[in-house]
Amino acid sequence: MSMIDYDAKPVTPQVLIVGQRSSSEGYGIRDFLSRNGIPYEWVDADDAAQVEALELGGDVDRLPVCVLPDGVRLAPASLEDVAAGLGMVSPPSLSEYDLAIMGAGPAGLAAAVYAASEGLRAVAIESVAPGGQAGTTSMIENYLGFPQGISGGELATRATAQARRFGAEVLLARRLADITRDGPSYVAHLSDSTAVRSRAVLVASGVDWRRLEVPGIEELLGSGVYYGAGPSEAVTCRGCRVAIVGGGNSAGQAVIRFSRYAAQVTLLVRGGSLDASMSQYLSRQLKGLGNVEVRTSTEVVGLESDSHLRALMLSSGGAAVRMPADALFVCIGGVPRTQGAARAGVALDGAGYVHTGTGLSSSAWALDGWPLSRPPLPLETNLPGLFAAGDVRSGSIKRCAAAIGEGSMAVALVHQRLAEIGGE
Amino acid sequence: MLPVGAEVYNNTSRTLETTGIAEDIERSGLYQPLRPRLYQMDREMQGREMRQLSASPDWVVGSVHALTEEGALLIASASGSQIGPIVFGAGHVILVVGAQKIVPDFDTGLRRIYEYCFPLEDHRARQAYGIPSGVNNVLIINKAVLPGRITAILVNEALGF
Ligand SMILES: Cc1cc2nc3c(=O)[nH]c(=O)nc-3n(C[C@H](O)[C@H](O)[C@H](O)COP(=O)(O)OP(=O)(O)OC[C@H]3O[C@@H](n4cnc5c(N)ncnc54)[C@H](O)[C@@H]3O)c2cc1C
Repeated sequence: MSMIDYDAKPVTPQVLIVGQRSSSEGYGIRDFLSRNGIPYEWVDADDAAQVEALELGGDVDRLPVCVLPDGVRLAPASLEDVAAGLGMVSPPSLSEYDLAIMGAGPAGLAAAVYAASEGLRAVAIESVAPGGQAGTTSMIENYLGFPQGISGGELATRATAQARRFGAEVLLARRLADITRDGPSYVAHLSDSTAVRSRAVLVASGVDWRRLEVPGIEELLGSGVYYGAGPSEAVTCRGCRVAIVGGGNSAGQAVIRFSRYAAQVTLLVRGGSLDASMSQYLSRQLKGLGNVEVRTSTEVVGLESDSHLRALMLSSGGAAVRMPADALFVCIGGVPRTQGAARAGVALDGAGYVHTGTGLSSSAWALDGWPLSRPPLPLETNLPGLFAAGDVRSGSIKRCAAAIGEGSMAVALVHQRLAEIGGE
Repeated sequence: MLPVGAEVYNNTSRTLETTGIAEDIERSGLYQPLRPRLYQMDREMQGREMRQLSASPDWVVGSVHALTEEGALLIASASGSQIGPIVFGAGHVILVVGAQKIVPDFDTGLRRIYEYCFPLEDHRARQAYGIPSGVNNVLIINKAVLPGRITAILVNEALGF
């Protein structure tokens, strides 16, 4: 037996990825693997000696190349092919479920646990990795029952294991594309053309990062500009100058994570102070970090780059300032992810969040065509049996505990709906 | 022996690798392997969580460096991380032992560790992590108080070092 177990690296073969560090496809695959806990080795395409040793032949021109543990080589590799090649894509096992959950963030996972534990046939569909936004946070310090905090990844791993132990299915690496109705039931159509039939649906697809409107930012995604602050990038920022945009808790947590690795971290805040937007425990921690600077009343107005980000152009109190930076992480709040559900006719509020329960009556037309004599249940949308929970819901509190609470509450309401359409 | 769904930590061990046990634990989907989970964590931010997880797995599967004819098991460790769970932290311990590790007595077992295992292990650590190894902690298991907690499986082949 080895006398030292230095890095807890799994001992079985890893996924090997060869690509340009600045490639956004490569970044997508790395992010997918690290968020799903699959170890990989990254070989920079510019490292001629290492690339040559891999004997990739003509595939060196088809980056990113992925070599899977069974030796299969994908070139150019797509996220979907990698997931399928790793055996992560399984078809739904049943022809009909009681509850299909769209999104396996905290809300979706909580619903999966409660539904399956109460004997419902439940399936959760997740486009990236279980855990959602929470899965990307290094430390959730205010979730009840974890006095030292718990990392989002760990919370997600535990919740997924719990859901699966109760018999819920979690289908990964596929996105909800559309929902159609079939009598009182629904059919969810996924991005790989799989159809999932269920008697009730819970939309728990959360929010995506709000895009920063700066010229040229899209071309630099994965090449120094990132949305959110996922764990896969923290280590690569060792010794770098990192800028983080945002004034909320997610930006605060990102600053704390990167301050452990980066030489200098600058938080750029549009508002005049952090008081209104960031929890006090976080803003206090930031003040105590020696390599962190907070610049308020500051906006990013331009980016300077070659093939990679080099500097930011800032507007600070009306003055233009150039700030050299190796990486920019954008954490400026979310926009709801409702594409699939919206296509089915789910009523949304002005900002695009899903209306539910009494919130529906605040919209003049949302209840037009509501077919039942009862009013919608608390988390029910304008489509009977189609519920929404968590950050995607209009009026939701954007917190883990709130999302988990809503996900579990939704299951009680699903029971009511199933009793109504019979067969429960 | 491992129940389906069990939380398992497999120690880095040539024995477990060559027998295919490591791969079975990490990839079969039958268990909850801890290594991939720990590997995913952020060492700087989650050190405490990582220590807690690796210190008390439900099952630990590893090997030993020597087994004496009187039945004592000897395990050396540089960091000590493997020793804690085997002594007490893990709920169940399975140790897979190649027959070449059987030694007549304790003194020969210690000699085996210093003169045979250590040089091979030091070479491995330098190659794998770029740091030296060391016989910094040595565990001797003479007897298990909880019956059935530790199972040593003797394999009639030369396995690992
Ligand atoms: C960096 C950061 C730090 C945070 N820190 C804290 C904290 O300390 N404490 C706290 O209480 N809260 C915190 N939050 C907020 C908390 O994480 C969210 O409120 C919570 O994750 C919301 O859960 P959700 O399930 O509603 O949505 P999400 O977490 O957004 O999950 C939605 C899931 O749905 C999936 N999905 C989306 N669209 C589709 C589709 N079409 N098909 C299939 N799947 C889809 C997504 O991939 C995602 O996994 C933090 C958030 C961030 C980003």
